[in-house]
Amino acid sequence: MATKPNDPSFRHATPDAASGASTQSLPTPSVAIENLIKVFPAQLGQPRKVGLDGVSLTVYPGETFGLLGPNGAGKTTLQKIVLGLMRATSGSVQVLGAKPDQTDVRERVGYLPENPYFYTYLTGREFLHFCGGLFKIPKPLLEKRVKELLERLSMTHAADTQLRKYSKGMLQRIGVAQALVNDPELVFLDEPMSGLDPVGRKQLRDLILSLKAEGKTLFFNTHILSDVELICDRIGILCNGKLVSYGSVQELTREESLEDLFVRVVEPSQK
Amino acid sequence: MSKILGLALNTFRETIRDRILYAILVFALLMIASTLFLGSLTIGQDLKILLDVGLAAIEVFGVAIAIFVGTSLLHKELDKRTVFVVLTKPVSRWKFLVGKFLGLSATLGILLALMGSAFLALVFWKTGSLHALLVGALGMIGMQLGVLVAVSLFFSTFTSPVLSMILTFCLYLIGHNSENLHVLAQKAGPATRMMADVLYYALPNLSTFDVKNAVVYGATIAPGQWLWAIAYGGLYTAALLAAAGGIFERREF
Repeated sequence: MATKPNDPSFRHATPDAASGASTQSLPTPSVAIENLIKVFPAQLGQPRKVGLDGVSLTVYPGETFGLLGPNGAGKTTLQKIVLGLMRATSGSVQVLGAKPDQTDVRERVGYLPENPYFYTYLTGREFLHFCGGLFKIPKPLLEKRVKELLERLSMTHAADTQLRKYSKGMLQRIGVAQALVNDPELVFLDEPMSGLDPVGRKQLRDLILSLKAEGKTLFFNTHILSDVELICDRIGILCNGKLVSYGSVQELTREESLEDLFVRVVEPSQK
Repeated sequence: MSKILGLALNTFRETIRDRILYAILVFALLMIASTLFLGSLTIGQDLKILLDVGLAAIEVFGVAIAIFVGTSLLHKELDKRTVFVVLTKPVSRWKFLVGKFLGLSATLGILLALMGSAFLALVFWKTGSLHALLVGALGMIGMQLGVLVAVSLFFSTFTSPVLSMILTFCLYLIGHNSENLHVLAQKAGPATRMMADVLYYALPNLSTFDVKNAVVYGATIAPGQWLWAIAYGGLYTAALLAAAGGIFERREF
């Protein structure tokens, strides 16, 4: 049975909690969101819209958390608030123990936006150097890291090609590289698999799994359920701005498949 | 500081690799060269025509680039969502704006240097000498372009690119006639005088940077006037960027 968002126990459900471990040893959360509300004010010809409606969730260090939901559910809005691109109407958000508008905390965070558009006049190498230059990374280390990332993402051959000549898959890979250029401990990925062919998806999935193995905390938005089951430790399902399901993948899929769960919790609110 | 320079270098790369810029530059160089032909149509006034039209051409093309490119810089970042990549890094928003300003200013500086070199070469070819006042006049055009880039960025933080363009162009026109507001203030009633005075001090007084007449007619400019123009340009630009930063800080993406 899926954990319900109004069940008090679910808010602190961690991988350990599912196995009955004590909650006293909980580490400081990488992401802590409490009763987050985002209301978009009415605009000419459009009524006010509730983007997020009392969302509370916690992501712990080393976890891979997947935020699922249909299009327009509020996934990107939530990530934008967590990353300081948008402000919450009310509620609290902490990222690595700091408020999202504190720029210093972003030294330890990576982000891949949805359908990334980058500076097309730059080459892949120039772009990574530009992104890396925005962090406090010594030049020789940045040089080394760019080289390693290009190799790791099989992009060395295209490093000196302008981004305008990149395919969708190559752009996605260079996008992942820029998200990792600061060797972040927390990585946000917004729909990382969208628009990729099966080979590209497999490569990216393997990369995410290797990041997970390195102990990085991953928070990604997606609506591709098969990837979620393979990658995520815990998930939350957003629908119309509300967190309608939240818990460990193992726990939530004990009695039904993830697809059945998703349809069951999302379908009623879409009618 | 290195972050601002990185952002400035990126904007410089973006603008300097824009092919439209080169088309405008070619037109500007042709216009400067055409002053030789225009000068030959007059009797004894050819140097004045060369100085007057040459400097005016440099200013007009510089202003066109400052307004067109300046007002589209932020919009492109928002439209292509590249701003997401930068603002989720440890970069404050005002640094992002200052980087944009410096990057475009560097591009304009290079274009101004190219157009100015062509102009100075023509003057030297025609007269066999060069007056320092000419370099000063080019510097004043540069100061004016800096103010206009800041105006363009300021409007871009809260309006559409087309509206930013129109507003910046209007401010350019008003800025060259703001002395009239001062004159109007002296002649009007108290309420109008106060409004005219507020506008006079709030709007950019671009005539401060206009030394074309002095150059053409060989007048001298006191050192204090140069210093005032530089201080005014610097302070006005800084104030505009601070206001733009304040607005941009509140913006949601």
